[in-house]
Amino acid sequence: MTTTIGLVFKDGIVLAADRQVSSENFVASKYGEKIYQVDKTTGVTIAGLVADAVNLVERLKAEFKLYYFEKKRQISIDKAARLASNIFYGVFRGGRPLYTQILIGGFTNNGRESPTPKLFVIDPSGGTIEDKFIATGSGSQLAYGILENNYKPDLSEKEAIKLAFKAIRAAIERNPYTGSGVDAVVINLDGYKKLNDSELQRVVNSEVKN
Amino acid sequence: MFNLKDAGYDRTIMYSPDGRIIQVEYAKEAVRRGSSVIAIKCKEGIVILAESRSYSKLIEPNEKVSQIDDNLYLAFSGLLADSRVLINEARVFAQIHKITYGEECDVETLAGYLSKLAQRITQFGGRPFGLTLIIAGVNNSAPELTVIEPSGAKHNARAIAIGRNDNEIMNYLEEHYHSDLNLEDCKVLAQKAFTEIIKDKNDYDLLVMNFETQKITKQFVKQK
Repeated sequence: MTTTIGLVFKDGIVLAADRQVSSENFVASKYGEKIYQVDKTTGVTIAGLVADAVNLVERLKAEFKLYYFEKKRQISIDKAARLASNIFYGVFRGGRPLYTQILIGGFTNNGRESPTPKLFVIDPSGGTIEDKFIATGSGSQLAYGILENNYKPDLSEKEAIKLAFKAIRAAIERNPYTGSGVDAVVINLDGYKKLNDSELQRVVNSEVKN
Repeated sequence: MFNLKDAGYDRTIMYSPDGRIIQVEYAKEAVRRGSSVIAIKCKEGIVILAESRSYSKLIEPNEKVSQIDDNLYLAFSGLLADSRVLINEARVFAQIHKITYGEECDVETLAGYLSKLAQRITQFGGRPFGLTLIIAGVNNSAPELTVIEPSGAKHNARAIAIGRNDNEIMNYLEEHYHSDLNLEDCKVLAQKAFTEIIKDKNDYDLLVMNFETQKITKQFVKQK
């Protein structure tokens, strides 16, 4: 009951989501937080049951921190996705799956090659797919309509934010369980940055062709 | 420290006739053979100096001050292998605390948990941890510095020395410590106490935790 998207651009990841929290046909909140920072340069978007999702996010934060203290380096994004997938799969096979689907985006960090931005989606059974752009939630098909037509692998940061905004907007217009505004986060090697409303508007209104 | 009437009572966790638990005293002896660690607290923060020793210059020395959480550090003296277990326990505990209460674990709570682990062995059996732990944190309303002995006893400290030559260093600290030291003074005092009493010119780790800025710096100081 949400639309979240993630996309990989030239030097990072953009994550975006709507703000509406739906409880069947009722809007429970118009200011729901759906994008979370779980590590220095790792972000997660959530869709589905809020309780399961937030619990998972807290668990991931703890696991990534323990990894950092043990190994003295931040966990690589592919390993982070694997760890999250294992948590999903464990409870799924245990018969009590988490009713949530997450996007997780960040950088590889394997010490040999330079860090590359990557994006994964993980479903309640632990199934993991890596892609350059992904949408989840009830409005995902509407968002995919925009992403499929406009995504290019060499997007700049501004272009990526504009495209993400446009995709969420499309879902807000036509999906009844998506609404109440857009949140966006940019992750690059300098860190994790949540854009506030005016910053987001400034980028969306700026003159970058898209 | 050992006489004939203790015979046999040191084999197990059991009182000797004069009311001591001799295995715990042996554990303290293991700590006294460990490398020296000095921690000093003031209003502005905490300084920890940890001697870095290895038995050959071809062997890299192990880490003596470990990060437990963002603003929480643990230093130890004693058996390195035992320390790995407690450091891991502490890190996991700090994260569980954060998930449970939504706030960072403070020194008091962590020390309470670790001292309980140490105490349990002295009552229900096993080998006591050959470790004295120093736990330091700056995320509460004031800097906190706590010491945990192998017995499980814990003390809040303004300044503490553990490991080899602990008594001499402690005497030095008692003589030179006063309550209005600033963080820089603490650093100088720790370095002076260390270099004046331990003449081996060993390298050391120096951790400075600033309470006001919440900045924590760790440097490796070479003496040779």
